[in-house]
Amino acid sequence: MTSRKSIHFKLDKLKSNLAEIDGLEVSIGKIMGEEWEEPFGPTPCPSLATLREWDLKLLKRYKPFYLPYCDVCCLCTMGKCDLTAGKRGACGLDICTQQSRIVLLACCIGAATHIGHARHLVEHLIEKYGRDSPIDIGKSVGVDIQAPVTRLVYGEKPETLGDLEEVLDYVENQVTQLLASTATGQEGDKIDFESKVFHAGMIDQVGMEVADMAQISAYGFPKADPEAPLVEIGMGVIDTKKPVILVIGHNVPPSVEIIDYMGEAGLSDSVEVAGICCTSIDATRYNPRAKIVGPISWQLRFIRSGIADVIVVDEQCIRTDVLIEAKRTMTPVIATAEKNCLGLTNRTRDPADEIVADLVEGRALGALIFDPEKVGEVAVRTAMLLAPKRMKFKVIPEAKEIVEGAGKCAQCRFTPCMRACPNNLPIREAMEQAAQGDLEGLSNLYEACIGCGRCESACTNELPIHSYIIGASEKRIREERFKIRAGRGAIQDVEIRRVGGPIVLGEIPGVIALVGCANYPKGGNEVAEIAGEFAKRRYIVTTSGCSAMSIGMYRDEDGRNLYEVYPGGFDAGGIVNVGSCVSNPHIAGAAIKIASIFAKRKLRGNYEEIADYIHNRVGAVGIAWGAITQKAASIASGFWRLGVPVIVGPHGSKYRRMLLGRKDRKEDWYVYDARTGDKVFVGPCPEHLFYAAETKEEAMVMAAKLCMRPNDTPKGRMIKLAHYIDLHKRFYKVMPDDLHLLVRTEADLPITMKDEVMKILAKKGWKGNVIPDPTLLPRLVHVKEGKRDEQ
Amino acid sequence: MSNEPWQMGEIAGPKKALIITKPSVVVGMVKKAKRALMVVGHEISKYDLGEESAIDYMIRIAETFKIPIVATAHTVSEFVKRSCYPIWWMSALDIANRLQDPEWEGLDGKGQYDLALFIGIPYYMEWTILSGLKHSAPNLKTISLDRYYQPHATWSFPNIKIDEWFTHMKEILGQIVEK
Amino acid sequence: MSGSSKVDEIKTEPMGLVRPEFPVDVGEIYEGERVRKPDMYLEFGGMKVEKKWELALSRPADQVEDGKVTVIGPNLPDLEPGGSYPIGILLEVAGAKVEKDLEGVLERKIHYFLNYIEGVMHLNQRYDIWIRITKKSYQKGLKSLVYIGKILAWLFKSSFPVIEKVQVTIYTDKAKIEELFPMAMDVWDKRDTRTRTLKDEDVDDFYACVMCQSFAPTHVCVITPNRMASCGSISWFDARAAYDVDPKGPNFPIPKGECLDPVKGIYEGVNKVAQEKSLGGIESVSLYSMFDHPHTSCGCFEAIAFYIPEVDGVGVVHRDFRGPSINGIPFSIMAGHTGGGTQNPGFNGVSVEYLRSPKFLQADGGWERVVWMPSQIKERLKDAIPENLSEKICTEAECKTIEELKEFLKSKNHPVVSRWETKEVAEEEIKEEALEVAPPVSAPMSIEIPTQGGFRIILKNARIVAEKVIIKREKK
Repeated sequence: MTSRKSIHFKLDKLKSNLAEIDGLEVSIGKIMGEEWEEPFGPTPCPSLATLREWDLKLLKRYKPFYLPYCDVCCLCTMGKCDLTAGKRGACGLDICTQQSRIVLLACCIGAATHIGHARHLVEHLIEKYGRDSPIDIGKSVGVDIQAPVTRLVYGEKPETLGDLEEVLDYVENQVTQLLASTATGQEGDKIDFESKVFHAGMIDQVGMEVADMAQISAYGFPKADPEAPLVEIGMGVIDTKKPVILVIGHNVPPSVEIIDYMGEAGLSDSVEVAGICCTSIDATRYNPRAKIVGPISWQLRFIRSGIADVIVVDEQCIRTDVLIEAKRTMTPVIATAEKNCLGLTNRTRDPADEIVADLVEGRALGALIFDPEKVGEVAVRTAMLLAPKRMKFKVIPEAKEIVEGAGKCAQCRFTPCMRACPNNLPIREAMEQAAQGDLEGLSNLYEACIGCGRCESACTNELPIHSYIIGASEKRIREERFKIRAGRGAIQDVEIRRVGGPIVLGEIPGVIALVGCANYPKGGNEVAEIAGEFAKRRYIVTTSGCSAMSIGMYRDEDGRNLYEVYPGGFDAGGIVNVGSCVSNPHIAGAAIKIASIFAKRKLRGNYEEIADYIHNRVGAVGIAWGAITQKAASIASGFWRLGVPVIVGPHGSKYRRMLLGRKDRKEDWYVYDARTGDKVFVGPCPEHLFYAAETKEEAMVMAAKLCMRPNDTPKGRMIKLAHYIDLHKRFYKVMPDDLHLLVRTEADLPITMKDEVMKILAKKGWKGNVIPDPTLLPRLVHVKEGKRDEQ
Repeated sequence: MSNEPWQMGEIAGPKKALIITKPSVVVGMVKKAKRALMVVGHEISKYDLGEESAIDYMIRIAETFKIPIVATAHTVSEFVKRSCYPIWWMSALDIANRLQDPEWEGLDGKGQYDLALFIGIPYYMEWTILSGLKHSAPNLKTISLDRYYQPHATWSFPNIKIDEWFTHMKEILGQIVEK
Repeated sequence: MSGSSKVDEIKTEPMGLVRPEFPVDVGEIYEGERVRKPDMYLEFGGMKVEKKWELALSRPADQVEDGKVTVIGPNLPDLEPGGSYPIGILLEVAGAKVEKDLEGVLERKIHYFLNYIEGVMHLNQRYDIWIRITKKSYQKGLKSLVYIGKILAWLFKSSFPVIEKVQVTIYTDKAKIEELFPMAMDVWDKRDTRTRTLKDEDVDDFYACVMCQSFAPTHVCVITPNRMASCGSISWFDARAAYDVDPKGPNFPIPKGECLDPVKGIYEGVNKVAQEKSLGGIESVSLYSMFDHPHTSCGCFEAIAFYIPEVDGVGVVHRDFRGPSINGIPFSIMAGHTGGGTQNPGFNGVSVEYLRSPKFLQADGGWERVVWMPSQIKERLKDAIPENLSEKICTEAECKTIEELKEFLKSKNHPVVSRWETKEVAEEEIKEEALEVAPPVSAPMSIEIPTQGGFRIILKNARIVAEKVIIKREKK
């Protein structure tokens, strides 16, 4: 791969055996990749407005519905500005545009986080393994199309770690440009902001892909392996008799060095490495003996349990009060990332002996060490020496203490604890019950508690309410012993070929991607229930990050773990854990590869055509049931630009705007039939692009519906309708009201529901429609000679 | 205190909901409205009234007001169980999105609404939806029938206890019946 | 209990299209449902039962009583839970347009339709069937096989408009099952003979399948008696039945028209449909050649036939073969040259079943040209490979490289070896031609310009207008 930077040089004089040159001036705009014959598509390395027209097409159909989260703007000194209902701020911006602007800001943060993470990883891995270390994420199992997102957006296929640096140059530049457009007095149109949001999401996908390719290749993570090992997850799987190192965050090098140091020192059996959040997923991809405590929301409970003897934090999704919390259990904290120094003294250049001694003797609360190797040594040695001294000192109270503490609850009339709780949990009642010696109420809060600790900050008597909930749930926590399939990485090309037939023949109804964080409205079990429901229905279920963990931390009605019941292959009824957050592009990549594999569409720098293909043909939908962060926002927006709909949970309504289709507006649902150029009505498929569901039931019904695409074969549509109708009837107890918009021909009708549905269609005055070769791009319409129309 | 947002961080901007001090306000608003509807979310089932069910109450209120109910999420199943027809169902976001579109033809094809009563959507989600309507639907008035203060509604009850809330509902029903 | 002459017969009014009431749900959504042993109430067929079968027969109208369901032998409540029992399912249909050829298609539908029943799992076909019923569904009321018969009757009637009458007999009486078994075997034998001997020449219409156009918009599959769809899922009989059910659907007849080349399998009608459905991208299709206008593929072909120029032979690799093929290239990469609805001479996406066809690459030498295939597939096809060739076809077990392959073929005196001498001559000619037809270019020139940082820029054919510049990293 080569740089796309332009080259300009002058040669005044050159004499050689071959030629003599005088006054040569060479100017090269773009430089082609080495050994890749695929020609460039129209948009390699798109800048902010390159794909604007595509965005506008999507945004015309899926208009933003703004849900302002704040009525004012406070970003400059002319403010605060009241933007209520049509008022404009001092700079001229209105409330809707301000929301889009904040969304863009959020997505820039998200993209920058992944890209920054990728940059750090790539630099570190180059230092360790060399610039020429090859990118290989599964060549031996037939991952022929590596880096589909990078090919599609950047226009090159990276072959070595060194190649990734140039990709990062491009994406970093784009984030800077995007961020610039949020400045006061810059972009003034909400839809243009939305287009830039899409751009941020697309750029983010590239950044994430770079990060995961780098770590899979260099660290030898499972390479597109459907049979990646089952690893242990849950607080109950940690061997508390051993010294325990807790790693938190997303950037795995320190964890890798800890594991390596343990191996070299012969301590692999003597020390436990357990993790929270994506860094733990990636640690288990490196070594299946590492353990996962749980998703992001398990931080407070695990730190307070005192099980960890050392805490190592890298970057992202780390509680910012980790040092304060860890101090309470006398657990030293090692910070390892420049992005997250926690006010600690930089000890990178100090001898390991000194740092270990300071931590063990309690002379320092923690240390800042940027060298992952040194982190490995310090963490392991500290844990070994400190464990016998700490004796797993914990701050989770025993039952007796909880009852005593609950007795001090003021039972405030206006329940500040409940009102501080994101899920409005009935804390006061539980405390009242506890005061009488019954801890069941508190224990019942455990499942839906997202572990934020806001109840404690709100308590007028400063009671450690979260610790009470944890203490009351002790038995349950001991039983948190589950399995999760380690992140497998990419999807094999052959796996995609294999499901092509079943999809057109109506044997696989769609792809459901359960991704994102753990701000669940009613607990993580809901994610597992969604996964189990769709896997049972023979959808392909893909997952990553905290959602992948929640799916693991569950037993179905027969007491079975879903990863043990459902295989890890990209196939009907599989539950496919691709890995951590930065593994998400493997899911987008699978959709992209479909276009290459089945239709031979060129990927290189050909974003619009491929997005159009995916939007109209690939029945995939993302569900980020507990999305929290700006990263989740940018991940979602990367899917939107590809035309893949995303459902979030009710808390996701706080993302400030939804992108909603209107099935009652017939004019919105026409596509071109590429065969004829005719405009054809295809119904609301897919109906929405970004959508917050109120309940898991609603999410499931909507997900089944959002899997429909205009290209569906009659058999494909039949099975999709069968599941949509069945779920609708099961949860809503009534037939859907939009079947007349979704049925194209009688052959679409599920046989077992035919008479029932035909009656409904007749009432609605339904008439059949042709199934087109769908596209939103007039330029893709074929003209007679097989050429494309230049409209 | 009672006119503070129920979830304490969810403070509103300069324009806040007026507090419904007397149930007659609700009755008056509905009577004044040309076209009103009621949106009922799934947390309606959390209103524990002992013997009586909050859903039944909403049905009675809506029927007496002669306004349609839109059940969001899977709440429609509760109405189906009670054979309550006609009932409309739509997701919370879909109905809200339509309510801010002046061109929308309404549930019955007879045009846009000028009043929407909300109840039973999770607090924070109802909060964001009412915010959306406050900013983007200038011709729509919104009432939160929930027992929590919703600052983005046009009118909202303050934070009240369940029995107090139930008394209000009974009064509303009584007043419509009276008039 | 078994052997009792118990007969449960439900004579209903003629089977309508309206969904009858059943104690359990029936729907497409149950298709993939698996019934594990602990959840099972009992099973029919399977490994533990010697004789079991299911059979579909077309009958004259007067021999079928529409809607009649009969159970001969013990019914569900008469059988011990947890046991494995023999079963025979006889589906009899009548209709003016129901042909004998439809029987096979209908019979295979029994599998799908039984799987539509909540709590019922059906596997395999013919004499190999295996049916499990869950405890849950039994408790829910699925306590008679009559329901299963009724469900079948209703689903057949709803799915196939050509069926005017349908009756179902379910045998659980061991003696009866054994008694009828030879009859069933006889039907299958005759059906197989018919399938095997039916030739492309014998029919007027081929069928097209454009189902995959949903992902590969310019690909059209031509399905003939001698060429199954590339995905391996749709035979000529299936396609014909699908057309009957949904005449506007993705399977439709191709009138053969004039046969332009019987060896390559070029038909006027096929060309016309290919031109039309590929939107002009494809001019002509040879059904039995991988070199001259080969048949196109979407992406879901089961195997690839690929040309191996070094030995002038053909290799076959299937989708599930891991690792490189004999030419060093794995399936996934070759698949990239094969799919997407374009013609790529030398690569042909095929179904495994097509390898059994008498017309398999007939223009290119057929089996006599095949030199390599994975052992797994060779085993699967052992009855189809001509006996004299079997040991001459190499697998990954014998050879890993082309050189080894050459030696192998020579040692076995594979038919392709005789082509080698003639080929050498031909190749030289081609080389000369190639030189002549190469586009005239300015004399190849390469300027090496030293730059900083250990890089060297080599400008080849330097037009210095961009796009054609290749930068290579200096080898260390």
